[in-house]
Amino acid sequence: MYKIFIVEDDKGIADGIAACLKVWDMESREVQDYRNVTEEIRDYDPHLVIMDITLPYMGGYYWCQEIRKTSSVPIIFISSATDNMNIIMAMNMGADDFIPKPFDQSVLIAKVQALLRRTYDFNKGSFALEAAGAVLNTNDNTLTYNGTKIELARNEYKILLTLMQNKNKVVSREKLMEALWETDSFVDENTLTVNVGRLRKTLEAAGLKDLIKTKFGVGYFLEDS
Amino acid sequence: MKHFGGYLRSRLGTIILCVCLFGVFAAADLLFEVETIVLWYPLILGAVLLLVVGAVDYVMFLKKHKELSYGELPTPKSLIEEDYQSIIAKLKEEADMRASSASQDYNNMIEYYTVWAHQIKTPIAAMRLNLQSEDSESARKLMGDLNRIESYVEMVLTFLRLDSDSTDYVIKEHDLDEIIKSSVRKFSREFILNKLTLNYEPVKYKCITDEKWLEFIIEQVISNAVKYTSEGGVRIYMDEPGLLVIEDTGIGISAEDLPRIFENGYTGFNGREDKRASGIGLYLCKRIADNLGHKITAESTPGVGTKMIIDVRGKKLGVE
Repeated sequence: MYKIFIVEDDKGIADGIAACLKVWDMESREVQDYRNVTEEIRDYDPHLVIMDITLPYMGGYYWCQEIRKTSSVPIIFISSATDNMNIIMAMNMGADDFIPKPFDQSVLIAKVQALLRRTYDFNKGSFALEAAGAVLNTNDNTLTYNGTKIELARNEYKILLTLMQNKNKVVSREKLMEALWETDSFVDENTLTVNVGRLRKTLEAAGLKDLIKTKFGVGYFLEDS
Repeated sequence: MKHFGGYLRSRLGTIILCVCLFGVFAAADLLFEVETIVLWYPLILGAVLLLVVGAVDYVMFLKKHKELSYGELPTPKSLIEEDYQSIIAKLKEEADMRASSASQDYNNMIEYYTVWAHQIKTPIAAMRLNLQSEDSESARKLMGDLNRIESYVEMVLTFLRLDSDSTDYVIKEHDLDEIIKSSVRKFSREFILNKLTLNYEPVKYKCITDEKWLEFIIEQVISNAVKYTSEGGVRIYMDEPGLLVIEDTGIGISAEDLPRIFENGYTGFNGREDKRASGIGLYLCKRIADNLGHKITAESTPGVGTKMIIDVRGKKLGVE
């Protein structure tokens, strides 16, 4: 299980980040003492650090340099100061990526996962979601069920991913469409219906009939007992 | 010689006095029937003397005028001039003080607004992150409002940055599609909520620009398109290489408003209907486009739709 350390002085954001990391089975810890950030990181030994630039006492740039003296742990900066200068500064200080505030959960997760994948080898822990015995593999956008690998089209994958992230909850059609828009697939309602239909066929062919259930007038859900 | 008239006017009193004096001499001499030579000789001598003195005075006059027109005050030659100069010096000092305190106030204000815009982004980020875990009608409505707040904050920041000395442009080659996609993504909720379609195929165009500033322009245009379109949708395409068109099927802009939509604070008929309009968005777009060497123009038919055309073929800028 990956461990992420969060250095962010706004409780709302820090908790929000921790919550969306948890969906992906990543463990996280928030900084306690803003004067001893390096020590806390050494104690926790995380796989990745998410750091704000504006912090009490010492800024993120300072801590980034301090961390770099002893460790090469990946660091992602998050900041509301999004002018080019700041981004360049952050990179020069040894950061690996920069996310401007405000950001979407999906952007954060995508960047965290990409960086983890780049830094550590696949075996250490791949990002997979599971429902009713089917495992959705985010490394190569495939679904594994009963030992067989099923290729998914891009939109099918994204729909299934969103449903699996919200297992046993009804996901509205709007939310699914938003998820597709995030991957630059600018679908309307009809296209979504077509896509879901296609996904159901793919799943049925693999022996996963009725994995996706319809909540009439609202959306779809995955049942995982 | 262009100042000669002005010189004569300034010496009018003296000139009239001289003419009168000559007249008196001539009259007196004529009355006493003296010889002509006695009449003319002093007159001519006097006139020559007057011309010489006048020429010297004219040169001095020109010199003084030159000094004054450069904004320097000549050494005062009389008590009255001295008085005037001390008044001017005092006024200048006061004006300088006022200007420096005004620019201090202005800088303080700019600094505060900038800090404020960054401060407000933190709670927006927290709300956004937490709202995303909700999947309900009300969460979506809140998210829409939050997006609006965010875009207003972005507008403030842009407004502040536009004229600041530290305005950072990073001009290089960009894939226009990346910029369009990133802008469009921000409005996904509005499109979906209002059931608007988006018709966009990658335009496959590379342009020399600053990514962030161009993105601001495109976002503003899409934001307007979505705001003023209740049915149909938005189409993004390239008319000819370098001419990006963002076309909507919205209420359109009336012909009398169209030439003025890029003016600061101009809201026109649509704006007066919709009290949220500030008339600043398109003004900023125009200013940024000018800075980037791009052009932005609009065509519209009321009731049919609006076509915003962004010409991204900048020629003036060099690559960094």
